[in-house]
Amino acid sequence: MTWYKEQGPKSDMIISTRVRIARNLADFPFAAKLSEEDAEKIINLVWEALKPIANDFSLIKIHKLSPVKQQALIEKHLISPDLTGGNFPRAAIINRDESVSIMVNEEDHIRIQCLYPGFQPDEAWNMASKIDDLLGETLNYAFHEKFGFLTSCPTNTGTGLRVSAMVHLPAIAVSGRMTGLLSQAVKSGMTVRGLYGEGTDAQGNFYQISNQITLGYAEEELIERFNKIVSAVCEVENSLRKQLAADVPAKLTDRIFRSYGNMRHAFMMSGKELINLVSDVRTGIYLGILKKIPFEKLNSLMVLTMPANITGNNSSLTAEQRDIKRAKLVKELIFHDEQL
Amino acid sequence: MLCEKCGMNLANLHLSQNINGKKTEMHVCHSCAAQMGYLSADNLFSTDFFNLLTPNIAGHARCPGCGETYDEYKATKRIGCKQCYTHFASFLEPVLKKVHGSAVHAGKLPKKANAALKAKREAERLRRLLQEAILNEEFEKAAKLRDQIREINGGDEK
Ligand SMILES: [Zn+2]
Ligand SMILES: [Zn+2]
Repeated sequence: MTWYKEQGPKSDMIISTRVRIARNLADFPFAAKLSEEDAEKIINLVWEALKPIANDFSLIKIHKLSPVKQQALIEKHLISPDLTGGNFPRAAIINRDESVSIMVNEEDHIRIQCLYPGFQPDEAWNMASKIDDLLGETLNYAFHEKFGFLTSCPTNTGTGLRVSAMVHLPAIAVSGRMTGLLSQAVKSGMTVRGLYGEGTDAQGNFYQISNQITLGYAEEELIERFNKIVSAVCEVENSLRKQLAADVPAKLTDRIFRSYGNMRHAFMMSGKELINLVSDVRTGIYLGILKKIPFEKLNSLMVLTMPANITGNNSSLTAEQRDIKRAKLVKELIFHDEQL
Repeated sequence: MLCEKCGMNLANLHLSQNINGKKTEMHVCHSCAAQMGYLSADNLFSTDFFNLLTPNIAGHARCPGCGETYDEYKATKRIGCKQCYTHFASFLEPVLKKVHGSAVHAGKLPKKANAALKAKREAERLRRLLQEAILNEEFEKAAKLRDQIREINGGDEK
């Protein structure tokens, strides 16, 4: 299930769910003290340990990729920015449908990531845990009887588990209750960030909610707690959407139609503009103002029109040419069967 | 009291540190104190070595695994190796407690974890269930759980 191509549960509110597990090998220094030679060894060890399921995976040596190709993987959320840069040996082992990505030599030796469309925390956890078990059959994990799995940063120690969801909360934003709600989520042990992770603002009212605590609870308890809090946020969003739909302010209706018009007819479009258009068009669909466009198509847009993905193999594109190509791609993907 | 570090020698030194307002105490033997960088062989018997036991000096003690000091960790926020966790346990434990509210892992065990650790964990889990069963007055369930715990402990408690 590719997160940006297929539809998942609660996709009218939740774009994707991600689980990642951090692991380190006992017999090597952690990333900060790792030599290039050992880093190569670790890539081979992890790839070897995955042999039973290797048919479905490919090993990508990140440091051998061009910067554009690296960036394209970041835009698909298949690797983190920390996995790129320099010639230090780092790898991503990614399965065919791009739902599993095992990053090697990021902040920790191993980061197993499962990324599913819609809201699927249990499914993503189960898959990540299975891969963890498989790796753990042959690899010697750094583990402490009291502290649990040992990680480079103490914020991940214990389970090494981070579960996050990318949510779209326009009704809460319109109601002006975002700050209150988010601070409540933070009080419940969650971290809330903007679309592109740490320190970014919430463009287009897209937020990432994730657990902060990784130690002291079993994985299932952490997932359950996360599930409850995200579900509670979604309930608030849902009831506010209903209220809003009953009486949509004229200004909001106008903005939604204008965004729809721009999406359909604009000749040039920046990446930032596109995120806001997608947000408005989604909102129009929730409120019954616009006819439905499959959410997975809108999710695809948010990936395939990002700078590196739009550049593809043509690295000579100028910013202006990219904006033209982006607007064209939007038309092809969303309005292909309509007369323009 | 035995040394909290190696658990083998008598703890004849009492280390106390004040890190970020958090006081941690530790009882260790001479050789561990030396290994942690508190003592050199020369001042092993000097009377004023307690004056050396300031956080600053503690921060310079090197992890035997990777050579990282606690000061380095504080600067980079990155732990150097698995041994850092045991070497700097008395510093890291308060950090873990502050971040997570707990410093005791309750999640998965590695597949390769030794049988003893797994059994210990399972016994802990069953003991929790046993407490619950007793509270709920489910005495038959409790009896079964007791048998299971006994079995795991290999008859130690018979
Ligand atoms: Zn000792
Ligand atoms: Zn170390």
